[in-house]
Amino acid sequence: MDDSATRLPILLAAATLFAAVASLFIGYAPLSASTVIDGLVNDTGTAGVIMRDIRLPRMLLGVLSGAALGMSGAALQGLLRNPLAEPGVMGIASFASLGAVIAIYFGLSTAFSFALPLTAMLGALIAAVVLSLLSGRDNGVLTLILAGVALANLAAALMALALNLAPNPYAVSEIVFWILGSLKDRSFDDVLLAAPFVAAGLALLASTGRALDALTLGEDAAKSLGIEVVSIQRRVIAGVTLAVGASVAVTGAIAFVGLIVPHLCRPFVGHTPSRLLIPSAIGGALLVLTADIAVRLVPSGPELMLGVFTSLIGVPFFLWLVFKLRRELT
Amino acid sequence: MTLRLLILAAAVLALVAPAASGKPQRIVSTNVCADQLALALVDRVRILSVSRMAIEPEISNLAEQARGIRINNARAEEIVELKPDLILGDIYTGKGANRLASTIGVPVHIVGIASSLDDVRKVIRDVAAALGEPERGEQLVAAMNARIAKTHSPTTKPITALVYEPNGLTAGAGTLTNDILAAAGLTNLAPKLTGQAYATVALETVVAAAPQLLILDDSYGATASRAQSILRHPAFRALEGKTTLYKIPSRLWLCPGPWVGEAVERLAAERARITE
Repeated sequence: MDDSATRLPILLAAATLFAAVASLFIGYAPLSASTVIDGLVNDTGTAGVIMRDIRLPRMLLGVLSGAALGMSGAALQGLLRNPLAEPGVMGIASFASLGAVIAIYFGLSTAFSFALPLTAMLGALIAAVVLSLLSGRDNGVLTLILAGVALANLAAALMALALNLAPNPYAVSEIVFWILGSLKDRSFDDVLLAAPFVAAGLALLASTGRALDALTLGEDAAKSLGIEVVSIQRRVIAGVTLAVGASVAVTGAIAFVGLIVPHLCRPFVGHTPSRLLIPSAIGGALLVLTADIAVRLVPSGPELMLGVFTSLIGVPFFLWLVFKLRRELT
Repeated sequence: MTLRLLILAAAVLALVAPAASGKPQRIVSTNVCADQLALALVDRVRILSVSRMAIEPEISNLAEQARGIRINNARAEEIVELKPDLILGDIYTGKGANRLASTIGVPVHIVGIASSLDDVRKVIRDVAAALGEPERGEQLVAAMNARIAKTHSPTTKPITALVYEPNGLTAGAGTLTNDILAAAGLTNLAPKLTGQAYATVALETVVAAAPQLLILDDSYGATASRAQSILRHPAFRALEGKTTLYKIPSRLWLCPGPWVGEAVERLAAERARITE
């Protein structure tokens, strides 16, 4: 087990690196391999613009958002000891979208660009706090998920309301972006808006590994090991808020990444949360990069949203988990 | 069902006397293109109501003139209640209103869609005839023709151009936009990039196509959306030097009308500036 636990992150990192490089070679302009490298390295001509201003930021956002969602999923599943926990299912990503919608369509982000990640993070924080109040001491697996479903629906309704009231003719049609997510035509401005917060969130989440390990023994056992449950809870909430809030602000909510990835990693690293956090971040990046390559290869007219792919994988996965849970509970 | 019939019957009773002169005097328009043509063709007093967009300066060339006229949302009930003697509509909005109006005997004129400058001339003449103002229609067409004719200069060098709209849309062959570009002496690159009339084109494709003139259609610049952010993408700033960025308000070519002459004029002037 120890062997595969150290091998997994390395293998995943290699695959992610491969996907990241591949994603730079895939796009709509027919650039030869040598032009891609030349554009990237020397910033010459239109190839330079395409590589540095379009494909590179797109790839970086794929890595950032995937890592944010993957690690947040792993941390939430560890904290709540709930295999269905995930920023999307729990409504945290939807509330981040809601915050972003308010910032963009009502002019806050035009006046002050960091208003975008800040309001999205505020949205994520509100959802996380409401959920932690709702679940409270009761650790029922389904209570939390049902509360999350309610929150996600509330966020979608409020988003539709906000977009309908927005003084912009394009707003209404953009609910699709906020619900399904996309990396299309993003720029370095978006990377710069999200990266500092995502990095801080990931660092914070990574630091909770030991405490989450102790928590697997139960709250009382964790307490006896000198770990304050409330303080881990706060750190996880803060980390998820920073990472998910900021990435959703620029990519929309990409569904199920945080659910799928930790479950796929667990057979290799075992049930120790601390060993799951880093692989889940890398795996999340890999999944989002792969989905983003897929949407560019499918000839679909207007590009598909990322959530189309991640949900097609995620929903059967979610159902499988529910059936598995039912067997375990009965 | 009975309620609807009752409302219908009441509406029919209310609509007994049409205009004496034979020209419609109670015009209701339910679409921004129809609004503008009505305002351009008849006295303001004859227009009872216009659509909500008629007063939006981003999209209506005659927003000033429309101000103060009653606004409608193309809903069947409110249209019938206005007791119009002519409804100007289009094939998309207010279908229900149009159908109801024809069942109670109010004439409906559907403003056509223009895919070329010739279509624009035809639409102006058709609407003018429906409004009982054929001479005014001819005047508008003549003014538009004169404006376009003035821009004609021997094209020394063809200039390549591409229109880019929110959501990454562009206009290819068989569109009014394409015809306007041609009249301004510009070679539209869109037909090479897409076989469709209107299609989304990836930002990368636009950068790689490197048109000499990139026409950005960003009429709602005061507010933000994801759709418009593509027009402010840093990649376009990086293109400067190779590609001239030019902004045109979409109101000049969104609807058929004499204002398309101004679109030709502005683009021809920009072409002349580049070739110098």
